[in-house]
Amino acid sequence: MSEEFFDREEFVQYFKDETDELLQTVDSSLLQLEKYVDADDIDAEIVNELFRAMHTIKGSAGMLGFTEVQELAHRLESVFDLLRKDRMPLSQQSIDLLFEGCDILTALIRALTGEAIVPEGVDGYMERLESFSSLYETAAAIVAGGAERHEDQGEERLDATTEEIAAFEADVARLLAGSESGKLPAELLATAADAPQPADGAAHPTHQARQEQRRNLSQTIRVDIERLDALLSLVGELVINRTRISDIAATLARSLSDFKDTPACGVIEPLTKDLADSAGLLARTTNEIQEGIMKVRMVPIGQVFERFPRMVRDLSKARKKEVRLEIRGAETDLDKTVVDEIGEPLMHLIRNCVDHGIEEAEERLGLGKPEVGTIRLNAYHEGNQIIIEVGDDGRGINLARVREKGIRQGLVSESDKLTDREIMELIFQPGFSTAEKVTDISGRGVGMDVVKKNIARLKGIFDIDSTEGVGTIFTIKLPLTLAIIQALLVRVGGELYSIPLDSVIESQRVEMSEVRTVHGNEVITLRGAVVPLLRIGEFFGLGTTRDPEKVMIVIVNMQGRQVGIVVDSFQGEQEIVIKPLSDVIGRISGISGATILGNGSISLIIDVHSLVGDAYASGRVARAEYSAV
Amino acid sequence: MSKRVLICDDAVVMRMMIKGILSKSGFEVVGEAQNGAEAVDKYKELGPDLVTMDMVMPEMDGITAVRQIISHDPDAKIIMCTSMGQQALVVEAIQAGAKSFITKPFQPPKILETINKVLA
Repeated sequence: MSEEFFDREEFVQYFKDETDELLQTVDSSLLQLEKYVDADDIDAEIVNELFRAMHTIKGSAGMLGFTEVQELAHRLESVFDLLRKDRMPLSQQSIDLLFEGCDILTALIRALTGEAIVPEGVDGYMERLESFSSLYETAAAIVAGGAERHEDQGEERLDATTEEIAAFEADVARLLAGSESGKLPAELLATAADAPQPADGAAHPTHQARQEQRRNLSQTIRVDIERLDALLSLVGELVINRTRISDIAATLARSLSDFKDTPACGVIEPLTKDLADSAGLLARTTNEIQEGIMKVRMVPIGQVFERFPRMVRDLSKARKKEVRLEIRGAETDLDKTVVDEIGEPLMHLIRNCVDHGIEEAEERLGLGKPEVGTIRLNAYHEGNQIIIEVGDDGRGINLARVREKGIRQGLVSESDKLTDREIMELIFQPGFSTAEKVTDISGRGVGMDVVKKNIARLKGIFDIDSTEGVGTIFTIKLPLTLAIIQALLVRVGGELYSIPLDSVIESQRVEMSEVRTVHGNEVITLRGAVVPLLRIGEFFGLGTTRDPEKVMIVIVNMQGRQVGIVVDSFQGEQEIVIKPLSDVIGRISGISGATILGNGSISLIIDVHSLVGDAYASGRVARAEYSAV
Repeated sequence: MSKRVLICDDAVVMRMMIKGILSKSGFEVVGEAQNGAEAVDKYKELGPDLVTMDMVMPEMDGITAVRQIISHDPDAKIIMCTSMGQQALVVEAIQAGAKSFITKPFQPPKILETINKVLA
C-alpha cells in the first residue's frame, strides 16, 4: 500500500482495536454456537455474524498487508460459509477447531503489535483446518455438479496478483456484457442466489436489540485514554484552584471587619461578596465538570467479564467438571483504569472456584447437589463503591485443613487460639495453598496473597466468606475512581500529609496516661479492643519529638485490623487529586503519591496499606492480636 | 467545488483508509456508514455525489442498500468494494444499479481512477 496516503502505525492501531472487539464477539458467538452441536437446525444469525467478523478481519488485514492473519481469517471464513450454507454439520470437532483457530488468530494479531510472540503451529493448524474443510468443500462441489462451479465465491483467492485481479475484473465485465443483452448464464444466477442474504429482521427476535446496539455504536467515538487522563489531570488542577479561590474568598470575608469604617470598605465589601458568589458558582461548575469527566472514563465491567465464559468452558473441560457460569451486572460502570486492572484478580478467583471449589460431578451427585456446579459472577454499585462477587456452590473452605496447613508452613503455631476469621485470613499469606497437588489451573503458589495485594493497590477490599459443603463467596469492593479522593489532612513534624478518608475510622486525642507499652510498642485500648500505635514521624525519620501529655491519633482500618497513627495535629478534610510520584523518586514505603493543596503547598498521600504492612514487618507496631495486655 | 463522498463499510480500518485516500486527493468525505441501512439513511440525508459500498455487512448488505438508494435516487453513483471471487455478487450489484466496482485489496491509484471514471 502506498504509505503517502496514510500513517500506517495509526491504521495498525485501528485494526488492533477493531479486531479485538470482533474477536471478543466471535468468542461469545462460538460459545452460543456450541449449544447447537449435532442439532438439526443452527441459528443462522450466529453463523452469519461469525462469517462477517472473519470477512472484516480478512479485508482489513489484506489492506494492511498482514498476509498470515488474512489467510487464517479467510480459512475460518470459509468454514463459517460452509456451515452457513448447510454444507457442513456442526460437530464438536469442528467447534473445537474453530475455537483453536480464534485463539491462534488472536495471538497472531497480538504478535503484530508486539504484545505477544508469534504463536507456534500456525501452519500446522491451517493444514488441519484445510484438510478438515476441504472434505466438505469437495462434497459440496460434487453435490452442486462438479468442476463447473469453480467461479463460485467459495473459491475466493487471496494470493491474487495484479494480473489475476485484472482477470477477475474482466470476468465480471464479460458477465455484465452478457447480462445486458439479457443472457446472464443460469449457473451464475444460481450462485448469486446463494450469496450472503441479510437476515430476515422481523423473524429474528433479537434483531431489534441488535439494531439498537448498532445505532448506539454509530453515535460513539473512540478516544485515546491518554487524552482523557490529560483532561482529568487538568480537572484536578481546576479542583485545586477552586478550593484555593474558596479559601481566599473566605479569608477575605473574615478580614472584612479590619476595614470597617475606612473609606476602602465601601469598595471592598461588595467585591468580597461578588468574589464569594463567583467562587460558589465556580465550585458548582467544577464539580459538574469533574463528575462529567469521571462518567466519560466509566466503562461497563462486562468488558472484563466477556472472556470468562470461554475460560470456564476450557477449564471445566480440562478438569472434567461440569460448570456453569452465571453473570449478572455486566453493565455496571467503573473507571477504565480499574477495569484494566481487575481482570487478572477475577480470573484467578474464577480459576480457584473451578479448581478447588466445584466438586467432580459424581461427588456432587453423592452429596445431593446438582450435577452441574455453578459459579456466579455479580457486579453492582453500592454508594461510591462497586462490589464484585465471585461465588461457587462447591465444597467451601475446610477451616481445619487450612489451620493444619498454616501450622505446617509455620505461619501459626499449634497453641494459637484462632477465630474462624483469623484462620480464613491465613489464605492470604504468601505461598499458601491447600491444593494437594499442583495443577495447571491453580495451586502454583501464585495465590490469594497476590489477588489481595492487587486489589489493595486499587484501594479495594477483598473478603472471603465460605461455608463448608455449601460454597465460597469472594467479595471485592472497589472505589469507583482512583484519581480524586476525600482525605484527612494531618500535620506531622511541620509537614502536611493526606490520609485517604476511606481507610480512616476516627480521629482522637488520647492522654499519655492511657497509652501502655507491650513488648516495647505502644498500644491503647479502644472500646475494649487493643489498638497498636504507629508514630509516623519516627517511622518516616522526621525527627519529631514526643508530646509528654497526649497523642493525637488517627485510627485506620487495614483489613479488619485497627492501627492508630500518631500525628501532631488534625487539619480537616479535603478533596484531593492524586498525582503519582515521578519514577526518579521511586517507590517510597507508606507513600502512594502527592497532591497540591489549595494554598499551593504539597502534601504527601499516605498509603495506609503499605505503611501498616511495613510497620508490622519491621516490628514497629505491636501485633495486638497475639499479645496479652 | 470538491465532490462529496459517502463511505459505507463495516470495517473501521477500511473506512479510515478510503477516507484517507479520498481526502488527500481533493474529495470531501461527508459521511460514513457502517451498514447498508445506515448508508441508505445517510444518502437521503446528505445527498452525496458518490458512494463507496462494501458488500458484506451486518443488518443490511451492500446490494440491498444499492437497490434502496437507487429507488430513492436513480442517478446515484455507487461504487462497490468487493473481494476476489465474488463475481456473481458484483454482477448482481451492478444490475441493481451500482456504477462500478473495485477489488480489495486495492491500490490507491486504482480507487481514484475508478471514482474519476464514474464521476466523469
